This record gives sequence, structure tokens and C-alpha cells, in this order.
Amino acid sequence: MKCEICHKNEAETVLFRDKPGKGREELYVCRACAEREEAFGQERGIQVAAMEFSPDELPPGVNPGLPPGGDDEGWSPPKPPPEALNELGKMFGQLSSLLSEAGGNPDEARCPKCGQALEEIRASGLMGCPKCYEVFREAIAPLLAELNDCTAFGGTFGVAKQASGRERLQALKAELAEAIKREDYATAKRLKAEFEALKRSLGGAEGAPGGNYGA
Amino acid sequence: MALKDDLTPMPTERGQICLCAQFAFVRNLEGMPFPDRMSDAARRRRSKEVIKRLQACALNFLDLTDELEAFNTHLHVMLLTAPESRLPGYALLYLAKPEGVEAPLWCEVMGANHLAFSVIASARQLSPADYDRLAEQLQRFVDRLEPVLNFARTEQLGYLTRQLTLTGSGFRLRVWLHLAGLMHFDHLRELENAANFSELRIDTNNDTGTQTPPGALCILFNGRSLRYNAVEETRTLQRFLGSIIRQERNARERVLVEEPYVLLDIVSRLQATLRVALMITPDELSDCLSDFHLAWDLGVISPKHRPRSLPPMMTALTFDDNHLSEPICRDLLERAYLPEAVRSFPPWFKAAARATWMRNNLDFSLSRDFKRRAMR
Ligand SMILES: [Zn+2]
Ligand SMILES: [Zn+2]
Repeated sequence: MKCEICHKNEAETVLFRDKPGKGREELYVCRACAEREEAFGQERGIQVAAMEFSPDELPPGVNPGLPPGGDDEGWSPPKPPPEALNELGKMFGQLSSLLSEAGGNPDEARCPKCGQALEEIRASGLMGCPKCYEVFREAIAPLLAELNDCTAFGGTFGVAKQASGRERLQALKAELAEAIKREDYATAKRLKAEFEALKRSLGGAEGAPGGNYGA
Repeated sequence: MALKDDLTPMPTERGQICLCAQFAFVRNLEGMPFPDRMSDAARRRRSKEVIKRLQACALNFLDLTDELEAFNTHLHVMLLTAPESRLPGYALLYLAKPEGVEAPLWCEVMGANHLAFSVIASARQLSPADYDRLAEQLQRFVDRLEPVLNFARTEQLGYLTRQLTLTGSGFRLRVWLHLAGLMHFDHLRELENAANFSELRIDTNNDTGTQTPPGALCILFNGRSLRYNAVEETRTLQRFLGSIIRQERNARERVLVEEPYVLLDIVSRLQATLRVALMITPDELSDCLSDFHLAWDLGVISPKHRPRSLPPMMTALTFDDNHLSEPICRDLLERAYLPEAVRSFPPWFKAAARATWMRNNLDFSLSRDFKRRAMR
């Protein structure tokens, strides 16, 4: 595919332009055009996405626009946060080149939850979702060991891990009933709000405690 | 609304090495992708949900999201997620008096991680004990939210974060340092090695790989988060900080005592730049501020002809291309004659504004004593 700006070189990366009211427009461009737009494009609302692969190099069957699992969280083009670039990017660049020198095959595995590729994690040190830690547990262990000189968390947790949001919900329900019984409406109001928020976040059909306990 | 900004007061004592410190914990919530792996719509929805849950904890967060533009040049906000990296759904909350924490608290929702809690303080005013206390207070504050927010974590790896380098405690302490003396003697490489030896890192803030960070501004931070907890990390960093400050002070005194002629060259060049430069890049401005601060710190600037106050070294941040706003530029260049080409091309326009600001704010002459000494 030719660059959509100069129409001369092969396109290697993609730029995004947010058009008010029209959503996101994609432009496939060459390195040189991308660099120029990176320097001056911001004023015109153009963002350069750091894509590690060219659109033609995508593994077969992978559609960059959709998460493999069709998750409702959707998938948006990877764009490393600045922290990754200035503090850690260099280091991970070195790490990943060490890995490939050691004969490690570029792995095309992706996280079923968020679509993050192992290859991207190795290149950037950035995970896609909490589930990635489980899916790629073995692959990231050497990275973590290299970074930390240890493989297991030696720090402290805040509170004992709650068994589940559901349990917390039950506990809140009981506390709320207690508060209503004592006619402590201020506390009841706070607990009710907490209950509702937690219930929404769990997305469950847990019945809200009823009762008219004042405003 | 005016927020307390303790980074701006002028230093009263000589020497400005430790500029500011940021204590931060990042946390993520179980069951959703990290912010930049969500669609814009999902991120916006999740952001609202998270804010509601925070408010359910009876926290009186002030939501600054709708006024972010106005806060872009607030020194604290500049150390948080940069404007160009904020994704749709990014929200910034502020707590002036967080329970159990003796400094204001910033909470970012849907930055690089779902949540980031920061306390930012003027590092010059922090005693070693203050460091420990702030880290501990912030940790306790974040821990108290855990029952309601259900943070993503595992027994094996601790708190799970977007960056592999934060996983574990999710804690990062950053201290901004002005190291003009150590940089002058080319000692930053040694410093970096020494930091690595103490399991710390120094960000020299430049991609060229050379040891010349713009403005001699470096960031010292804990590079690891898996092995230790936040307070242990803080102690390590804080001890190392003490030795950096001693070495930087020695290096500055050495320039003055052993190389006065070199120092004269540095400040004379600065004066020339102030006189003739029409356009200045952010990095050049940082360098000029650095030279100016070094000169001020070493007492070589004439008390009779110098700015009434010392512009904070961190000012350079305000004047980078991302934060320097059009209205400020227009203000600065109100009466300046500028060719249309400069006026209509933002990078040049901002560069011209920076040069004007610098001329207005750094104008000085050299103390006669120093000149005599340097020429001897
Ligand atoms: Zn092109
Ligand atoms: Zn994932």
C-alpha cells in the first residue's frame, strides 16, 4: 500500500485524525511523512500511533479493529503512554532484542480478554489487562525477574483480599439494615450509595435493600 | 479556583538542588482492560463508574475534568499525565484535605492505569522523616479504598499494573533534581551507576543517550516495585538523595573555586543569549534557566542588577510546547513586531514567546568581585 500523503513510498504506519463530529479518520503513511506529522501535525489534530507492524504484516486472521473475544470493552490502537517511552522504553527495547538474540521466537499469542499480543508486551513492557498476567505468566516471569531480581511480591497488601464483590455486597446489605434499624440515616445514606455503586460495577441482579428510610 | 501550589515560592536559602517530589500509587480494577485497550465509549463509561464508586467512599473529591485546560499550567498537574496522552474518559480529581494525609491529593482516573493517586510536595522542604511519613500516609489512604474498589492483584505478583515495572507495590517515588554541578564535571554516568547499584534509577530525560539532560534536570525514582513495599523503597531513595545533594554541592563549589574562568564563560554566554536570541526552544530555555540558577546559587550575580525573585527551575516545564498556551504567547508578544510567517506557525510563535519571557525574567549583570576573581 502506498503512503496516503506522498503517494510515493510504501505505507509503514498509521496516523489518526479526530474530525469533530465525524470520528476518527485513519491515514496509512510512510515513515518520513509520519515523522513530519509527528513534529507538526499536533496543531492539526493528527496523532501518530506507534504501530510496531505495518498493516500488511498483521498475522493472518487478526483484525486490528476487533478484539478476538468480541468483548464490550472494545479494542483501540495501542499507543504507549509517555512514561513507557521515556523511562522504560529504552530498557525494554534492549530486553526484547536480548530475547530475540537468544533465539526466542516472536510469539503471536494474544490475550483472549483484551487482545494484547505477547510480542507487544515484550517490546514495550506494557500489559493489556489484569488477565494478561495469568495468560502470559510464564513468558513474563523472566522479564519480571530481570527487572526486580526476584520473582514474587515481597511487599505488603492493604487489606486481606475480599473473597468477592458479592460478599462485600452482602456485608453492606447487613450493615445497611443495621443502620436503618438504629435510625442512623446519614450512615444509611452512605452505605446505600456504596451498595448501589458496587452493585452496578458487578453488573449483577442483586436486589437492592428496600425500605423507606428517609432522604 | 486557586489551588495551593507549594512549588512556586522562591527559595530563601542558597542552593536549589531538590526541586520536587511525587509519591504515587497506581491501582487497577478487577475485570476490565487497562485504559488504552478499551474503546473510547467503554473508557468513558468506566471512568464515570469509578468516580461514582470513589464518591461512595464518602470522599469529597473535586472533579477538575471539565476545567482541565485551565489547570494545564499548574505545576502539579504538569507532573501528571501530559495533555497529549490523556485519552477520552480521563478524569482528574483533587482532594484538598484527604483523610490521614497531610498534603493535597491528586487522583487520576483512566490515565495509563485505572487509578493513580499522587501527592506532590516541594522536595526542598521535605526532611528524611517527611518522606517516610508521606509514603506511609498515602499507602494507608489507598489501602482504605480497597474493600470498595476491588483492586486487581495476585498473591504472587501483588498489584497488577499496565507497566511491568510497577507491578507489585504499584508505588513510584520521583524526585526532580537540578544537577548542574555534577553534569558540568560529567559525573552523571557514575551517578546513574551508583543509583542502579542501590536499585534506583535516574531518568536523564533525553533520548539521545548522552549525559546532558536539558537544564541538568534529572528524575530519581525507584525502578523496582516487586521486592519491597513503598516505605522500604522510600527509605532507600531518601538515603541516596542525601548523598546526591552532598556531591552536587561539592561539585558546584568546585566550579566556583577551581574554574572561575569557566564559570565566567558560562554566564557571559547566557547574557549574550538573553540579548540576541529571537527564538528559543524548550530545551534551550531549560539550559538557560540552569545556568542562571547555578550563577545565582554561587553568588556571582550582582545584587544590584538581577531579577527581584528567582524564577523556579521547574518553570521550564510550563514553557514547553505542550503547556505554553496561545493566550500566554499573545500576551508576551503583544507589542512585538513579528513577521507573519512567525505569527502563523505555532512552533516559531511559541519559540519567540519563550525568548521574550526569558529576556524579561532573567536579565542580570555579574558581580564585580566575581569578575575580578575570574580574571586574576
Ligand atoms: Zn509519504
Ligand atoms: Zn489481556
